[in-house]
Amino acid sequence: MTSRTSLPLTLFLLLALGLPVPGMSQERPPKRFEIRNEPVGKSRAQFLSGLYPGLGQLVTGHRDKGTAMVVAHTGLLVVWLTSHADYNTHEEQLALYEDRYLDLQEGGSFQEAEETWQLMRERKDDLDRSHLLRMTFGLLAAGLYSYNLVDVLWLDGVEPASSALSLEPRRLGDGAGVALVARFD
Amino acid sequence: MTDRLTRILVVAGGAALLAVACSNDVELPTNYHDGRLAAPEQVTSNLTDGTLTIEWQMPTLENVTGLVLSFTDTTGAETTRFVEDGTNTSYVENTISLDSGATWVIRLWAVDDLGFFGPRSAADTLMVP
Repeated sequence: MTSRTSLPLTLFLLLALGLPVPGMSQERPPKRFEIRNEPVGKSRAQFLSGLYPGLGQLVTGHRDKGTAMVVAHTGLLVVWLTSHADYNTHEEQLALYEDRYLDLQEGGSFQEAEETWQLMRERKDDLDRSHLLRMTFGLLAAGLYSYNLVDVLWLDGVEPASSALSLEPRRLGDGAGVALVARFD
Repeated sequence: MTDRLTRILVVAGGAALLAVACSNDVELPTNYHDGRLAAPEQVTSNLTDGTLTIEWQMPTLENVTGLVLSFTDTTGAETTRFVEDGTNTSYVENTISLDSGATWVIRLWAVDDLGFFGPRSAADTLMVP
């Protein structure tokens, strides 16, 4: 590592650790760590959860639950919307085949009608599969959203979470340090 | 009790809204082609003294208003004749080439009043001696 790059890196590390930097003024003791606790109000958390499941839980410290809800709901929405788009595509194709089938009634032949009928049946099967998929995932997404609402409105979903384990800064001798703190309620 | 009812209403309302928004009321149209017209059966061709006679049987005359006879040669070229009376069971053909060595594949199918062509019969092959 060259001296040109190592000097800024050293200064950055010293500043990050709050240690005195040679040549800097020592007028007031450096503020090594600042812990700010800005609790989010319950109504705001409920509003966020209303916007998207899991957001209210996340901002109030329920990280596991909030993350699981955001990820699960996003996945469910993606599958739901994809299968919904598939359903619409199959529906349009089925309508085209249906028009063709009905046109064949006058001047068409049995062979053409039979081929078109088989294509329509295949498309209808695809349509039913897409419908089942979108209903399943739509219901799951709606269920998760409803549970999310119940969680933030009636359960303790947006009560501030107290973490059992945390990393907290501690003064260790003359230098700065970090302590792993466990709380037992 | 009110809270519980509200929860049930929230979940049921969401499910009902989704069910209405995602209804699958698409149905196939009525099948009109299966069984509408029967295929002619027992198609035979007889060449006697330069006259070709084709005979057949119809299992049922339901919806039949006419018949189409198809003659296909070895090159794939097709010549058709229309029999206007659907109750006929024979047709005399005297315009196609019946030179020695000629081969014709003969098929028939029924036609209804809308002009829909029914299923084709089994092929009968005529080889001119």
